[in-house]
Amino acid sequence: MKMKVLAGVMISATLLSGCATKTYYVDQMTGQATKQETVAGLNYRDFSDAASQMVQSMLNNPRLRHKDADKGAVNILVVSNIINDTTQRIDTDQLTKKIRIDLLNSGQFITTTAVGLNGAEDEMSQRVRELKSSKLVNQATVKGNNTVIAPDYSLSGKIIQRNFTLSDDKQEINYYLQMTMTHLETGLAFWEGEVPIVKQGDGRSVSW
Amino acid sequence: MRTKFFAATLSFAFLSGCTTMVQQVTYGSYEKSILSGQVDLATDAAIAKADVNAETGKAEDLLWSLEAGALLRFSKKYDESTGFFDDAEALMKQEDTEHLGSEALDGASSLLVNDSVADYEQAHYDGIMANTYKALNFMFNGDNSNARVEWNRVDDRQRRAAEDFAEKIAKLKEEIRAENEKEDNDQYREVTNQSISHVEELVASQGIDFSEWKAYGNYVNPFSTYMHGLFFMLNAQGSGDFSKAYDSMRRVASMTGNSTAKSDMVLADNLYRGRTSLKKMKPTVWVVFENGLGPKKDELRIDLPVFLASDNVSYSGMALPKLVEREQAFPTLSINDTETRILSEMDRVVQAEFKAEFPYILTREVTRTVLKTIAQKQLNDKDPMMGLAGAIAQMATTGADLRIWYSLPKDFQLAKLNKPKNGALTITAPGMESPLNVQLDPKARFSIVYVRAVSPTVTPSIDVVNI
Repeated sequence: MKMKVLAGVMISATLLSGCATKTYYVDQMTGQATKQETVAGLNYRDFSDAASQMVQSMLNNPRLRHKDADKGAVNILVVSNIINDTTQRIDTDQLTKKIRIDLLNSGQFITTTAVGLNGAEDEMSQRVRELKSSKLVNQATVKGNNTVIAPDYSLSGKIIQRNFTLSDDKQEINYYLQMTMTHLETGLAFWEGEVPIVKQGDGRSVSW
Repeated sequence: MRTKFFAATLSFAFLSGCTTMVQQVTYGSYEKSILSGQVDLATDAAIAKADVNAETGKAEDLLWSLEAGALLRFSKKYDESTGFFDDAEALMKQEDTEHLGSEALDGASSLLVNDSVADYEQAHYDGIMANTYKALNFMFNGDNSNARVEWNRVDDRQRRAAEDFAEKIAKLKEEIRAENEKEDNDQYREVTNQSISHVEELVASQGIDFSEWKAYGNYVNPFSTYMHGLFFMLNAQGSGDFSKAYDSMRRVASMTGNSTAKSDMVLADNLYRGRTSLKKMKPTVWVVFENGLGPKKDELRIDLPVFLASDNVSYSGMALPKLVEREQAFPTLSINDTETRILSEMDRVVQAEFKAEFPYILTREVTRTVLKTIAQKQLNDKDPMMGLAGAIAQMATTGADLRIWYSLPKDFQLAKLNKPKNGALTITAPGMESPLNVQLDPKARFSIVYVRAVSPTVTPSIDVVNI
């Protein structure tokens, strides 16, 4: 008899153990969880979709079009600070790289790597000019001064996260991917965009 | 047959039992190493017990990972420390989301022996302090991006803790109400309830008065909230950060009444409203003092509390954990004539959580004792020799779960002063063997000087964040 009870407990325990809560996207119109499975953090798809949406919005904005675009002129972009204000360790390049690629492919923007908030992204533009004193290098091939192009626009942004506890051991995780394109001549934000991403998942533990 | 059963019971009892003694010996030597200044020795012991998997490189013991993470900070091995805290967080998540099945089996095995054989289930303050220490590690390393992530984690854990406690308290009230309404005559329940009331009286007679233990508002750990505010205030990247800082400072000021927290609340508000700016502020030094060691657990052993309607048992007893306060390292620190004041007590944070958990610990132990005693009586009814073996097993397996994060401090203190022109700080304290000298970076406008002292005889460790 006792063995039967113990076995019953074991079987119910095993059956219960199958009920792990998964994470799903939330439909932002209805506020209901969809059937599209995801992860609690931000993944490749989130960054890729957000970047595509933002680039589309940038390209549709007439203010960002170079006045001589018809003659092939392009805007020069510098990537400024992207603040990760979430609970996830995120490499913000995951977002900006995709934006840079799409903007470059659009033919309207080129990103400078010679200038950056914390120094140049690629210090080589500076370093190769130090070859001026090298006897080894053909001086005619050394890059001269006054040739590096200063940026016209700066791309900055912030990724914010807010978590909310729902009933039934679930939680809703809201991310806001916010970006601003600042026109450096005037200091005005010529373009701003926000992509919210809402997920619903296991509330028994933290979301990271 | 009888002899075999007796021998088997005895060996089971000795193998699985005496858990209290094992725990006391382990923690005893660990604590002794820390207090005698042999932090390296204690760190090595903690790392060994953290059970690092050779293949994955990840620690597999939650509690000892926390200990290792905390002690590695003394030797300024911030990355290694963060690594252990990361592993601890992963283990906490595993514990939180443990399948109900394994949780049930864990519960069943602990019901047969005692709570200390179940996996360590972290307290809320464990998680909050793990993220706090990680955030500080990143700050000491000058990595503000990752520090920001950890402070956000601290904030989320504090929110979750407040919700969890509110739910727990409501649930407990409901259970008590439902229990009072029951009128059945289930003998087992009657015995259990009677035993619980009796044990509650005994606990009170031991001078353990939970009524004096009061949580900070919403079970918040004010130190973590304060440091969260200070980080966002001094590293603000936009007005949103000043708003976060103000919110944290306001909560801490109202919870603790600490004068520095109050003045920082006003400062954060002024910064948020644009009445002042970080550039206009005078160069300032914050001294944060992590003092002494927080509570440890000891065993409260109670014999024969069960009111079984029979004399046919040789032993019955139960063991409950109790919190034992430890000492401050120094009552206060003086920094160029400015004294630190208590910001918050880790003791109080731990006590409040222990108090909230205690009804569950008590119920589990009483249930366990009643079950073990009934089993013993049944064995005794069949054969007194087997009953005796049962009694021995019960005696050996009765033990309290003494696991707790041992290296947390007793309290946190705070002082704020204008940065001296020569950048030199002299830190003294009553009972400190020799003054501590700190030379601040002349380029830094703001500095956070973080002092950790475990005892008056051990030289404190000092970390400086230059902003």
